[in-house]
Amino acid sequence: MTLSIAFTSLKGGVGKTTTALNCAFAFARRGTRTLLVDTDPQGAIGLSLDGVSERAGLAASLAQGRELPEVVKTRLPELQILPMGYVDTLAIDDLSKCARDNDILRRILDRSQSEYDAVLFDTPAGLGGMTRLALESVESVIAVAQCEPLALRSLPRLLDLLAQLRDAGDACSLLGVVCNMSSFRDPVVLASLEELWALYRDSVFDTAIPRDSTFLQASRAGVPLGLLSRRAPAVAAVFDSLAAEIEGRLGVQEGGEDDGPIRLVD
Amino acid sequence: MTARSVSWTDAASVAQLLTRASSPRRNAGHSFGSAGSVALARPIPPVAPALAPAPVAVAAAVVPRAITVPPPSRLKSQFPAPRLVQTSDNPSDCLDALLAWTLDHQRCTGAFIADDNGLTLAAHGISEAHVSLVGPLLSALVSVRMIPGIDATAGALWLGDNMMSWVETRNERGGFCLGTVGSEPLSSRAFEQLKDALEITVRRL
Repeated sequence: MTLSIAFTSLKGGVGKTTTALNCAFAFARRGTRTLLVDTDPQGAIGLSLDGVSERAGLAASLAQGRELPEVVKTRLPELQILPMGYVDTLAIDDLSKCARDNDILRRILDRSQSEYDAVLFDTPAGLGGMTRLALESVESVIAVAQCEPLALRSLPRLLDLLAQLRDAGDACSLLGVVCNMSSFRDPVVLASLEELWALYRDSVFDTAIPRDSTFLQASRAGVPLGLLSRRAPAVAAVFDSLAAEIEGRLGVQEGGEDDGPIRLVD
Repeated sequence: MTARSVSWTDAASVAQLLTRASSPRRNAGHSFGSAGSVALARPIPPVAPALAPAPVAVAAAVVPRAITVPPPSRLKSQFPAPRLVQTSDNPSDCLDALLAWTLDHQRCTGAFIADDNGLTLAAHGISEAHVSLVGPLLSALVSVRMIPGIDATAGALWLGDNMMSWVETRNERGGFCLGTVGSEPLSSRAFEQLKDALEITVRRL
């Protein structure tokens, strides 16, 4: 069964796209056939990756009433991307309605059943429009929380929406809260971290994503952290840890039923 | 002014929301690649551990993921220290074990582990000021090591109220630093022990 996960936050700028992108890369590196779907009308995934921003994607498919768009293949055979593509600014409000009318996210998930092990959705900030559609379509939701007061204050709103959707019969469930841009150097960030742990306890992933200038370098280059240089920066490994935790929470066993050594040559 | 929580959120309502918004965790059993192709896990690169917070003064309800640290009465009682033995393959557990061993067996009140970017990987009992020193300190030592014959992979810095001591070592992923803060500098023997413990740990990262 294909896993479906949405990376979500009410507040913008918390690092949803960066987290989704690097998690998708980490999943693929672990051998998981992964599709990363951009549901953000701003096309955040496309803007994050060199070579993707000009590609047509979901938006063009919806606008032209075409079949599901072609995915973008990547250097990793296990990772493919479905970008949003260009969305006319005046048409942004219509996008989510059109996507809902076409039931496009569920269709993507249906088509993915035989092709992917995991489908990861990057969502726009906020809880309406495409975000809500994604939440209604997926099974698991990862709340991305920047370690700062506004992000913490907005987190219950996401939980409330999830609770309401579940009450209404949707399958979405909070898989966990990942804290982003953590740092010991700022007392407010530290206080936010401590409060996040205190309030959300086991829901918070053990892996916290640190504030690190390497993210800016990767953004500038338009690549996932793991491809920033031939020797991946140390912080890239944080996403290996997070991917392993996500798999653990989803009950995924690495390498199938027998989690022992795997022969290189059959 | 009354001190107010950062989140302006009460724990009871969050707990209630978490219950309503979450499903019970799945048991292990599902595996990727069940649709046909075999999803063999690629060699997974060494995992950098999550940041472990320095347990500073927090409200009673706050339960940060703190490292298990022996009670003060046990501290430094077993000097000289037994050699560190790492039993776990989990990098995060290894770092926690190193930190606990350091606090247990060295004359210090706090300790930290950082990488050569100054990124703190684990810490206990050190202040933010100490943490902020790590990056600049390690950067400064890079130029010191350019002087022929100078190893400079261990040292101590007088901070006025206390001393910061540290050792460094490298593996193929880069440099790692183990530091302590205490009322006095560490002995040469302690430096050797710290370096040995750090090397044992870094081999597993």
